[in-house]
Amino acid sequence: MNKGKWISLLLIGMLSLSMALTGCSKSSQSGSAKKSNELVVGQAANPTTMDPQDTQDTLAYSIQRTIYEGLLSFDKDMKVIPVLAEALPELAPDAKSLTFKLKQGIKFQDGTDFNAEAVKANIDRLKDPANKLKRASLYSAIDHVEIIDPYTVKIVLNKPFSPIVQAFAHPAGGMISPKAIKEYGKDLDRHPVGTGPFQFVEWKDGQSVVVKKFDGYWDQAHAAKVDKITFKPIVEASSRVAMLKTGEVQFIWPLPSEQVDSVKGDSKVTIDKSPSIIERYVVLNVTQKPFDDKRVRQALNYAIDKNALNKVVYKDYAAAPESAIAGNVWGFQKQQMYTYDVEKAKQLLAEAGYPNGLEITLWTPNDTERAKIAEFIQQQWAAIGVKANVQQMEFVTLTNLLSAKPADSQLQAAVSGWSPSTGEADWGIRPLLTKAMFPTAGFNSGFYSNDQVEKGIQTGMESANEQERLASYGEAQKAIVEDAPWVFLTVPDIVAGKRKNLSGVYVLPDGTLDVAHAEFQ
Amino acid sequence: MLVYITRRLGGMIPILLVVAVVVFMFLHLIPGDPARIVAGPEATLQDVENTRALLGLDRPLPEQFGHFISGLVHGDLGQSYRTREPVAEMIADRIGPTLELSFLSMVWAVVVGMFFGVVAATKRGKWQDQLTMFFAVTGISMPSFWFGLMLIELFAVQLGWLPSGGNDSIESYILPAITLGSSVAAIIARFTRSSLLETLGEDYVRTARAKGAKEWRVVWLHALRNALLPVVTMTGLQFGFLLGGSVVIEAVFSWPGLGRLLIDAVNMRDYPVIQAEMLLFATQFMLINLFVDVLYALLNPQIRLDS
Repeated sequence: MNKGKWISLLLIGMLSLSMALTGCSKSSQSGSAKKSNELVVGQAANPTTMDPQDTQDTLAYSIQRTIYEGLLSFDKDMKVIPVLAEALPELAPDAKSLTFKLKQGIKFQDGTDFNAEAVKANIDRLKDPANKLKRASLYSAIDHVEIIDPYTVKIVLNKPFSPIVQAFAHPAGGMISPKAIKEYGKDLDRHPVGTGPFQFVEWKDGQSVVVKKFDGYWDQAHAAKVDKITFKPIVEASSRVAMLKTGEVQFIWPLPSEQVDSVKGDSKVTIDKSPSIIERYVVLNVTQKPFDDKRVRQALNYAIDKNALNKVVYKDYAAAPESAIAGNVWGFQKQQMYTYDVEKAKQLLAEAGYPNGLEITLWTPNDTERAKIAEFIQQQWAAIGVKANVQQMEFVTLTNLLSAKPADSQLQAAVSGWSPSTGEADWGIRPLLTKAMFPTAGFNSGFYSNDQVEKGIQTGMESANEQERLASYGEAQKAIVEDAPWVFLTVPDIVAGKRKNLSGVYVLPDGTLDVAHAEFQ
Repeated sequence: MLVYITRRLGGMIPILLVVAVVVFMFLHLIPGDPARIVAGPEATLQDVENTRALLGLDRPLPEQFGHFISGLVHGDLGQSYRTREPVAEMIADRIGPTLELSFLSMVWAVVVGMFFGVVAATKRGKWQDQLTMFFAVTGISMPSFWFGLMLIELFAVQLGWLPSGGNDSIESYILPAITLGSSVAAIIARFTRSSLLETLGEDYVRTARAKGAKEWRVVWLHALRNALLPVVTMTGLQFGFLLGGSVVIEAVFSWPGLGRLLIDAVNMRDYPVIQAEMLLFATQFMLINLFVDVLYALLNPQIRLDS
């Protein structure tokens, strides 16, 4: 064979390859046209389970929300609304029990009736310690369930605990078919059956979870408008964005702020932005020098320009915090926060006995966002003579270090954050800033305790009077901000991307998706 | 030959045991409590304790190790912490996509790499040589992660010819295979070139030429056969790396293979899955090495395996 033949062979090869490629593109186009009533959602990771009572990740809850419904739920702004219950429950004056009236005529996807028995079966399952369900602690205040009549249940608590109402709106409160509970036992996580507008089809780990429209859905006015939804894990953020641009997926969450620019020019894609309930902060070990001095903690707060932080790290897809909890959390009360004031910070440091500044070890998880936050803080603190040695580490390693007992803790300061998944102040403050929640019991990694805060939280927990609760949570927040156990940083926005022809899809402030009412134009 | 292969296979067992011990030890040395991760970010102490008991992590380390080894001997790889599915089943689900992708990448990398290696060697110093080697150096030094994203941007986003991820259709194999194979193709091209240049200077090549054999015959039949030996060794090793090294590619292309499984497992400190995958990768490497040695003997009868 001579040279000419080789070259012509190569050319033929390339030609046929390119023809094959063009052929492919045609077929994939016709394929997507056919699929117009199917929604494909791109998520950042694999879900862990389809059992709502055993779920800890918002990503899995996003899928479960299409299959399961609770007695209550959150609306777009995290306000509690009735779903399977007729109305919000009546909380007894002593906050020791609550009564739900249930809607009638609702069936689970396997044909089982939804009634008081079903509610009892669900709570009994949660309460059974043998099941070791991850969300059992959320409902630990429940003692037992009484069936008043087929459509009325009374939940009896073992202590006064008002935040229980929000716990029922949490996705963990999704009602599972009692028949499925009996039939599948531990395998329920692969056989979810609820009352929602979609029913489960299949879950291929690492590939997709598929749900299809449930024809027997009780609320015809809000029935599903798409036939099928596929949830795909797409780990790499830039790949997620690429798939949104090509139309292979129609909705992606999260859309990291550094990727936003690459979507902006695309006429077929829009960016959805809404406030979250996540608050990011630097947790300080208040039992250790120099953070045992309130003036030092306040100085570190004054030294941070939060608006600049939001610009640099989040491209302005974030807001400055207005309290220790985000604005969408029930019980939030706006506080007088630390303004950016370098002089004041320097003065406070000097008063505390550090006129020449000090040196701090600052831990941070090694993801792009939080690593950037740490670098930013480092620069800002340098202006007041505080030298921060940033130590990046894998999230899991950091979590481990942060859950050390008081005697073993090596923590000085760490970039941290919290999203209270029940959407109310109790879960926004209590696990992080009360004495009972020192590690390993809870997440008070900085070992903060303050009598005023403890009292405010206690009253909020035990009172059934809404006004009284709001006032006491307000007092607790005021004391926290004044005491500065954290360096308050930011409340990042939820940023998602979607195709322009898609509507009815949004991300709730807790980071779960609501795609049950998705619709294509 | 059969005796040799059997002996080599038998020799793998102690090595695998050592690998198992090392992997187990390392996993329990690295920080990060699986129970805390599996229980989730909002889990209370009680939840974590429950999870620990559920996963058997509350038992003493030697007992856990004994459990792991005895399971291994009985062919039981344990249950995933994350999904609670048997690890063997999870790996069985994922190994297909990874093998397909690796084979496809290997096939095109070998064909293209060798072809251009030969072209470069026969056109030594000319523009064809320089161009090929330019691409080869680029191919080796380019991060596959970045290269994959560039391919997606061009062929999926801009041109709309190919899907950017998943493995639902035949065309979805093209971009990941190109990405995964590119550096291998480049390495093979360079190896083929240098190896062929060496053999082209040998006496028997001169003899063949003197006897009036056509140039393509001399290159492709006489010289290349001998030049292939080092190329085969290197290609075998590369294949081993491909199988284990598809981790990044699988993340970029949302490929549901072993690499992705490993990332998820590491993030969740899913010990049983990590252990099983490590053992699998070790086995793969040893099998490929054996295969290379056998192929070596077939290509060059002078090499005797049994001796």
